[in-house]
Amino acid sequence: MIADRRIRVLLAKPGLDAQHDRGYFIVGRALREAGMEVIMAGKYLTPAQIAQASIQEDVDFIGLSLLSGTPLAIVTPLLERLKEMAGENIPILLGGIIPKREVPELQKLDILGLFGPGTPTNKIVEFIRQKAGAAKE
Amino acid sequence: MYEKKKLEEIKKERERYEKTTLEKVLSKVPEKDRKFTNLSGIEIKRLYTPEDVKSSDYLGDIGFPGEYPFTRGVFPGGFRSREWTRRQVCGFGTPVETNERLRFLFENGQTGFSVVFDHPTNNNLDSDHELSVGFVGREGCPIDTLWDMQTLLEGLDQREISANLITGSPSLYAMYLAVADEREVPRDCLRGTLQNFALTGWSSGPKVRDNMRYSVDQLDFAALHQPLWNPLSISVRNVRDGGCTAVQEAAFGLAGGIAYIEHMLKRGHDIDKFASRITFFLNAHNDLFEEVAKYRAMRRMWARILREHFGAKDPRSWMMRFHVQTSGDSLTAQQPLNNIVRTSLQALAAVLGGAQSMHVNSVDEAFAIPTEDAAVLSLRTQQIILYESGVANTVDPLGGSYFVEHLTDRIEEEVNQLIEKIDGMGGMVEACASGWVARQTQDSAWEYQKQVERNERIVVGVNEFQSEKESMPIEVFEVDPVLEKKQIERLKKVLKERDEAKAEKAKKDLLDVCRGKENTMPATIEAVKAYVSVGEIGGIYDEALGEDLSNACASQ
Repeated sequence: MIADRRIRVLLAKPGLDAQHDRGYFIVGRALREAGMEVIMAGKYLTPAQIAQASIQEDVDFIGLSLLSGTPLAIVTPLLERLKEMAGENIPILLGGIIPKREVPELQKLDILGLFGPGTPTNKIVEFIRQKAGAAKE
Repeated sequence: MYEKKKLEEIKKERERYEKTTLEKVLSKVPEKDRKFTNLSGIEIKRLYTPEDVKSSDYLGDIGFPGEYPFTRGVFPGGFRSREWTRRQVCGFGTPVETNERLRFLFENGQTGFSVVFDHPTNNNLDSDHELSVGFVGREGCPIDTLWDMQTLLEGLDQREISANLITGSPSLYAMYLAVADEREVPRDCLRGTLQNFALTGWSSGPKVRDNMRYSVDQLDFAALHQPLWNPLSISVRNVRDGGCTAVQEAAFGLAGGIAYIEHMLKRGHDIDKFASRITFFLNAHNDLFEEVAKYRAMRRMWARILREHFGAKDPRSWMMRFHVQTSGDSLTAQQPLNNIVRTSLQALAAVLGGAQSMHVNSVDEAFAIPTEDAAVLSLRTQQIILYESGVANTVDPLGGSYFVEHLTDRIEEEVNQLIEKIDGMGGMVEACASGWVARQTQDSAWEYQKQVERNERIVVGVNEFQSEKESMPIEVFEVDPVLEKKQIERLKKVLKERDEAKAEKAKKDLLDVCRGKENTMPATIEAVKAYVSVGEIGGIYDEALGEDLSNACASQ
């Protein structure tokens, strides 16, 4: 799926939490240092805006930073919008507060990159590289 | 602090000591192979002596607590006469749940009342807005209309309580006043604080300048009508959690204060009529001495800025009073019980630095907002420091420590340099608008992250001393998702039942005022009394400026 080019990742902060942006910027820099192309889509974004930007930018991964503890409320409509634009195969990664009770449901939706507080950035880099490699083969 | 002759003698003796006693021991027991720096990157020496204390003038630079330049504190009696206010933040679910938690904390000996609001509310949006989905009542209490504020304050006497509203939304301040009016509590006896600080760096661009107008309107309005109210809390505490250093936190705060004062002077106010109502909201992070020195340096600098730069004459205008919340970014999800120890040390730093009030973060806050038990534990932490440890028995107990006085001077120097740089950019408003403050904060956060990932900084349980048994069992607080629906129903009910003609008139009046130059607070108060919602009022603010949130705030 992924041609011979740099891995492209779109990072976004969905919804209204513009204040807790430390993880969003840290992960952005870490992925860039690892040689990936990172599109910092911004804050205050709706699921529709994130889906649209991801399609337009033709990204390989979408990373969302969330501290509200409500990933399902954001990911579910995002997947619907992506599906409408034929982008449902773009893997989604989540960083921030991911309550245990939502994990099984997220896994059912094929959201496998779940990164809580204290995750070293190289773990995220490795996860993306591995997934990108698998997609290439 | 010492005579020249005495200092020369000390220098000679120190050199002898280093060549003999010290060298002999270090050759056998060398120092650990790690950097001895504090979190601002300032190198810390092995030992400090009188030679390191630049403040040669005790009376001029250090002085007595309660007197200029207030290095040792703003109250002469310290905690012996005025204990710091224990003020745990609270807010979640709907106003009903938040009100219950507030009353619970009061019953447990809390002396102040501090409410945090959710993201939709702080962004002037209603709970039923598209962007609010998943954020209603999660990280704070939602407020849509006056009914919510009435519910929030049920059973709490506004004459008795000191209320801290952690928000910059003018609608909430207006609602607090509207409830007081309803209860016939005179405005001039209300005690409390508004966060109301627009210079955090989270949004950049012209939005910052516009936000300043509504923010200064609140300060302006309170200065005229409420002598006991603190209408501006310079909130750099959260910027620090975003990753900036102690030096940056202090510089951003002081430069922010200068910007507000300049706005108020431009509006024709007398400095001594409002300066004493400005307070600070600061972080307490891991490095204990750095934090203590930060508070002391800021107090001295604020006093000098107010007296020497702005010419304030009333000593109360020179005093930097501050509230502390312990750091959030230092809490770990790994081995979470360790957070109790971290927050205790951070709280100790705030006490040693002479804080006026404090919130101690809870053991479970790397996961969620605290459970009831965790919130009580934070309150108990404060009570143990105050009543058991003995540190509150004397004023500024670290004053005179060669190290702490040296670090206080050093931080003052570095903060001064940074403030000059900000001045050169046109002040803090422009430094935020251009995105510079945000970039500085991100650069420091990234630097810290790299240090942790390279194991140059040890974070217990995260990059060292990890446990096999991953997480210690702690209970995590959950907000029932049903509450989001309940809040939306509360909003719908008000919108359906309100006097529509009255609401429309109030909206039109507010828009007219916003388009002009006069203070927007009186018209905002009339609007909330007519049950115009927070989202509607925010919409009117934006309409008057020809802005919309999605464009204005998409900062990078």
